[in-house]
Formats: sequence, C-alpha cells, structure tokens
Amino acid sequence: MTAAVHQLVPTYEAGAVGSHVAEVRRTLRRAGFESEVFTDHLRRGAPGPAHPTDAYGERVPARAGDVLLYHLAIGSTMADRLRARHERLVVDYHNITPAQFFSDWEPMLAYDLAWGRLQLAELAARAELGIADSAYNAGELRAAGYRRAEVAPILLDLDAFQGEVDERTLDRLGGPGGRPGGRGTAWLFVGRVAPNKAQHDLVRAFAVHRRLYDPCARLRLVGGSSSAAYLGALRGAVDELDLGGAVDLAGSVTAAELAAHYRAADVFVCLSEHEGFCVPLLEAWWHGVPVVAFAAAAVPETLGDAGLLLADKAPDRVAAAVHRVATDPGVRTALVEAGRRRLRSHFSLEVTRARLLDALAPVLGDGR
Amino acid sequence: MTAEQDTPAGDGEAPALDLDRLLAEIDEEVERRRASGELPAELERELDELFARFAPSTPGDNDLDAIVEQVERASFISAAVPVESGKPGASQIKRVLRKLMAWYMNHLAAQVTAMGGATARALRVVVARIDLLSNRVGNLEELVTDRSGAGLDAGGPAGEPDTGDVELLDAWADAVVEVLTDVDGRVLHADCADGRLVTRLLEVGLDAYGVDPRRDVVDPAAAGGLDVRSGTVLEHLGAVPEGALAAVVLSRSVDVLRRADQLRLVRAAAAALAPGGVLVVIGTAPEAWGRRRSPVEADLAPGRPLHPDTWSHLAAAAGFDPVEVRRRDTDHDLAVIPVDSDLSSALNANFARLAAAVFGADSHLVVARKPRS
Repeated sequence: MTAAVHQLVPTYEAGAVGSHVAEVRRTLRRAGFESEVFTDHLRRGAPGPAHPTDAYGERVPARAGDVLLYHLAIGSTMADRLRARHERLVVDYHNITPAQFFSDWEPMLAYDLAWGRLQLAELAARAELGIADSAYNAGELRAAGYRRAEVAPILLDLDAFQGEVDERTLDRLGGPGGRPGGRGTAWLFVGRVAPNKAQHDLVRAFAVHRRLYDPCARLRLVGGSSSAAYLGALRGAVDELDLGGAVDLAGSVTAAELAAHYRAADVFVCLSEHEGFCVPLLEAWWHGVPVVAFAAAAVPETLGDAGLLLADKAPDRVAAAVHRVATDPGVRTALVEAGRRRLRSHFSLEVTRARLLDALAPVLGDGR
Repeated sequence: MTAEQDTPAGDGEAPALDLDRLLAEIDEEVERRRASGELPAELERELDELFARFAPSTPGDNDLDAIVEQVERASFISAAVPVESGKPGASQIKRVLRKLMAWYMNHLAAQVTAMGGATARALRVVVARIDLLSNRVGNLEELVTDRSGAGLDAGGPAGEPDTGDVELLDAWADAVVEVLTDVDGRVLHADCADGRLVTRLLEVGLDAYGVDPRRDVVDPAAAGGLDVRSGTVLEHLGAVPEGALAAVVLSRSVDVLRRADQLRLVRAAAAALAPGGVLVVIGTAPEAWGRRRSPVEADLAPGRPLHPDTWSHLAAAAGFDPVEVRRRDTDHDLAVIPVDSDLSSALNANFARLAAAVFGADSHLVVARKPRS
C-alpha cells in the first residue's frame, strides 16, 4: 500500500507558505506518496484544494504509518490537537517572529507568536524530524529541542512570477528612474508592514538618501499591515518628514500590481530585523531588481553573494549603498546577473523538490 | 580599479563583482561625506527621536508607574464589539448579534474587568512599597551624585568632563587605538566625555561614535560635529540591534555602577558585538580609586571598581575569548637617597617595595574578544 504523507496547515491561503504547501503536495504525489492538505481555515484564493482538518480519519482514512507534515508559523489549536494524535509527525518550520517585536504594538499578536514558540518546543518530543527553510530556522529547531533538523528551502514555482503586469499601476509608478535621465531612484520593499520588518529604518535611510543624493527619490512599501499601530506610526513619521509625496504605502496588492512594482523599481532594499527566509529576495531576483539588504537572521544565507549585504543600518551607509547600486550600471548589472544565477542554482523547483525529498528521506525511507 | 573586477566577462555574462571591495568603496564614500559635514551628526538622532514620538507610549523597563498605568488602562474590558464592515449587510448582522449576546458578553466583561482592576490595585501596593525602599536607598545615592555637595566635587566646571576621567582616557588612548586598529564596523565609546577618544578613533579611520549621560558635556561636542549622543551606556546598548557593533569601549561609569549593572553591562556588550568584536574596559584599580576621591564620595558611591581579574572573569563567562589585561603603573615613587653604602641601597630597595605596595598600578585596560563562531 502506498504510504501517505499528509500536510496540515492552520490557515491555507495565498502567500509564500500556501504556495509551498501546494508545491509540496505536488512533489509528494509525483514521488509516489498519497498526499492531501488539511486546514482549519481555507481562505479564498488558496493555491490548491484542501480538506477540513476533521475530515482526516473520517472522509480521508487515517492509517498506521501515515506521516503528518505540520506547517508551523504561528500559534494554533491545531498544534495542540496534533500532540494528542499518534501518527508519525514532521514539523515544517517557517519561523515565528519573536514576540518582543510586537509586544508594544500588538499585544494580542505577541501572545499568538509566543504561543507558537511554546508549541514549537512542545512538539519537539513528538516530531521525528524538523524541516526548516533555512539553516537559521534549523538552528531554532535544534534550540527548541528537535533531535533532527534538516534544511529544505521553501518550494516556490518561480514561473508563477511570470504573470501579467498591471499596466495602469506601471504607468502610475513611472518606471525605474535611478539611472541617468530617470525621474528619481525608486526604492522598493515588499513585506508586511510590521515592526520586525523595520520599515521605519527604511524611511530613515530614505530621508537621508534624498538629502544627500537624490531629492526626487521615491520609496514604495508594498504589503498589508500586521499592526495598525505600527502602520500609523510609520505614516506619522513620513508626514512629519514631509515625505508624503515620496513614500507610497501601497498596502496589499494583486500579483499583477506586485509585478508592476518590481518592474518600476531601481533597488530592492530590505532592512528587516527578522526573516526566517525572505521570499521577496527571490522575487526581486526574478524581476531583475538588484538587492541591498541588512544582514539579519536568515537574510545572509538566502542572499548569498547575490546582493549587497550591509553589516549595519546607519542611514547614510544604506543611502550610499542604494545610490551606488542604482547609479553604477556595472554594479547593477552584476548584481542582477548574480541574483538570476542564484535563483536558478539554489531555488528552482527542481533543486528545492530534491532537497525536500532528501530532507524527508530519514522518515519516509523507501515507503513509496 | 573599482569593485567590478577586470576579468573578462564570457558568454554575455556581467563581470563578477568583488562585494568586499564594493562595500569598502561605499564605506569610503560614507566617511568622506561624514568628514565633509554634509550629514549633520545630530540628524540620525533626530530621525530616531521622530519615530519614537509616534511609537506607542511604551514605558521603559524602569518606569514602574507607567507600567501600572498601562495595566490599569488595559484592565477595562469593553463588550461593545465593533460592528463596522465593508461587506453589504454585514454591519446590520453584527449589530443584531451584538445585541442578542450583550447579556452574555457583559457578564464576562464585568468579571474580567474586576480581575484586571484587582491586579492593578495589587500592583499599586507593590509599587508604593518599592518607592519607599527606593527613597531610602536614594537618599544615600544623592549624597554621591550631587556634584555641588560639600566634599563631593570630583568634576570640573559645568560642560567639562571630570579631570580624572580625562586623564584616564588620555593615558590609555594610544593603547585603545592600537587594539582597535583592525576592527571593521561601528565602534562605541561609553562614557565618551567630550569625545576626545572618539576623535582619536575617527582620525585613524574607524567608524566611531560615543554616548555619555552628561548632556552638558555631550552637547558641545555634538555641536562641533562629533557623533556623540546623550544617554547611559546600559540604555544605549539595550537599544542597539544584536551584533551591530564591531567594538565597545567602556570607561568611567564602569567604576561606580552597581554590581548588578556591571554584570549586565558585560552581557549587554556581548550581545551588541558582532562575532569577532572587541570589548575594551578602561578601569581604575580598586586600590587607587579611593585615593582620587573624597572619603564621603568614596564611601557612598553606589558601586566600586572591579579588579582587572574580575573583568576578565566576567568577560570569559559572557563568552569572550581571549581576554587580555594591561596595567598602568602609577608614577608615584618614594624619593630615594644617594647610594653610598649597603645601608642606603637596602633603604632604597625598601622604598621601592613600599611604593609598589602603597601605590601599585592605578588603572588597567581589559581587552576581550568575542569569538567569530
């Protein structure tokens, strides 16, 4: 009988983890395993089919030898229910933002994050294996008590980035302008507006960049908000600096609008304090946008040599780095090429699928 | 030659990029701009303060009253759930549901609010007792920290650093520069006084800045273009991102901090330093410290200097390895008598032993390195 490797994800929705879950299902099925997705919350736009969690053991039979692959990124009652089950368990850890980033801004979210970290440790005794998107995350798994932690980068269908570009958005943004004759360097960061993503540091560095290098520069921050309080503070600071016309807090956007933002960007700048992997780096490479990033958490290992990695966030240093990358055609071209090479060599589906199956091998053996 | 290496690019590929050289060029550009004064030293601080104004009014760890007020505010639980919605008809449905469930929610909210209120009241009692203790202990500290108090004036005029402070920094400046010559990244000097050591470090090409709690000393230095900020070293290190600094130089307050704060300081410096970072402690020898102060100040200071061996021990416990100690001998010597007999030679030898026992080393430099992995 074919072995089954089922995935459990508290919320199944569009986004990096959702796409990963869909690709893992595809990969496991291609490898000869039965594989279904179970979720407590199926959102519109989820990248694939899923069953309600309580269907496991009813509509979908639970069999001895089943392996459950649980995706952990925040606290959930699903983790508590899993602890009480007896199937073999693998935890796929996508990192949990440390609660202290949110404790002053969103206490309830901080609670959920702390709860998630607690559950991560509680599941250590039950899990045969922990899988992590990055060596950084694998380190956290080991610190949480996991006997075995393997690294397998997130599975993303890079071709999915090749969707349509929203022309109206592109017209509005006006295209890249950092190069000679352009209309001001276009900075871009994509990620939820949240304290750990440190958009406020971007605004600081951007203000210095406009003062020292390019008074016409623009900063675009794309992503929904994880904290209304933080978003409000960011808006307040932007207004106080009189940057309202230069900083665009775009919020959540469609895939086509996102493609337009990348198309219109001169430099992707990430000053995030905490990333378990940082998928937008891959998106930037795919769209041919050079990357300047602060070396924090998993960013250095994801970025490798395919971007400019800064050891500190001094605003004038960030500004100088962005200016150099945006205005030196040789540097820009070399970084774009390095990004594309790294994307192919490290994060193509062919590579990441193989790494996932290798990582799961100690648990799956030859159970196909 | 620039960061683009001069190797030929094959098959239409862009030439390889020497990222280290590119970063070095960017650093040079930053240093040039800083030196030219294009970016005012206080701008970074102003940008920090600007964002802090919009951040939630989060009390610091030491602001117990503000924390209790926060608890009191949060202890009131409202059952009036928001009913706004962008979806047609949803707002009316929510309003009806809220009305139907009001009896249930109000009952729960009343109980949770009562529990929150009781917790806040209990905290108020605890805070009052802590205040009482703090006042009693604080009375002693005021005797020491009030520089205008009789017999306690260890410093110079307002706006100038303590003379002993300056003397110590000048005495060790060359050694600190030598130790830090090869570090790559930001260097913090605390307590930086008028920024004289920061200036020395900048002169040898290091990316140095300073903090010092004495605003009257720091502000003139900042106005002169130095990146020096007012604040205590513990507050500052607490706000610095983990691994952000290449070196931390501690001086002055390390001698009089409370014991618990001295321990915290080493841990905070270890966290703020990047792998391979250097911690430097410029300290006064405990034996010499009392000689430089009035008896009242020496007796009532909140803390005492640590022996260099103790700093070494603390640094090693915080993961630093290796740790090196350098001592500076005092220039106090007892006068010798002309050597014209065995008796005078014996007396001079005894004077030398006596001087070493009485005066000994007056200060030390502890250099601790954080392992790279």
